[in-house]
Amino acid sequence: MVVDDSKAMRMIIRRTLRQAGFGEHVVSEAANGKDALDAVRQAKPDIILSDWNMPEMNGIEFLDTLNREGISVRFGFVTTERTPEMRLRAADAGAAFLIVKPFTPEDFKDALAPHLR
Amino acid sequence: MNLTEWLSVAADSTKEIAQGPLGIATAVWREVPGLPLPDDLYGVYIPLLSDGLALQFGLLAERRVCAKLASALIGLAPDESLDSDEDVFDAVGEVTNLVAGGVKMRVAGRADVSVGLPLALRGKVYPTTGSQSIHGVMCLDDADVWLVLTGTKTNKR
Repeated sequence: MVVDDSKAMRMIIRRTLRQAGFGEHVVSEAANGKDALDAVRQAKPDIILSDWNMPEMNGIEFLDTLNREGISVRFGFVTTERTPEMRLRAADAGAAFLIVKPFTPEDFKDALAPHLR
Repeated sequence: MNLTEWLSVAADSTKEIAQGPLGIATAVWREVPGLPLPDDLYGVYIPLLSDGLALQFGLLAERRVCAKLASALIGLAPDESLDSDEDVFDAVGEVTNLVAGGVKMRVAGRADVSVGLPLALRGKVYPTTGSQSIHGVMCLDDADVWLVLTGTKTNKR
């Protein structure tokens, strides 16, 4: 599942997933953490790639809510947030990785390969 | 940091994004003291909140240049284009967000910055009492993009 408030970025992430060799996976989308949370409650995806700064519910609030509700799902950030403090905050909340925008297909390959077959 | 330093950092970050993900060959920064902002620009502002300073960073251009930036980000072929304002400014918002992320990284250690959500607009912002605004021009290949920084001091310490 790709969660980003920018339609353009969701399109770019889908393309990058294909370029990184993950094209066989079915990709769902949500435009913010709140919509994504509603979707995940219905059907849990293999992995969530989420932006950090979004309206309604941001990425870290989304991850915290998943944790609070006991929904265990692999979760990574795809974000411009890349300071050590943000990386630490993401890791503390249980994020498996943080991919920094702008990114390359190799970045996706490195981050996702341990989590997707 | 004063506004001029912030604008210089934003210019560096814009160059990196232009020549990286946007694939633009040349990016030349021009300071334009005294030159007013054109009236009919389109673009996106994004808040940069720092300790004691509330900034708005704007990336503005003619409508056709905004469409070109959007197409470059998405990777459309030269004969393809985005038609709707919503799609164009969604993509320009993402370009602005990437630049803002670069600004945040560049000033880490000097300022703790929170990046807000982008807002697209047509026209220009007029500084109100207590705020200042400066701008410059980034020439991306043959297209001018105006970078604007409007700042207001806050009481936050």
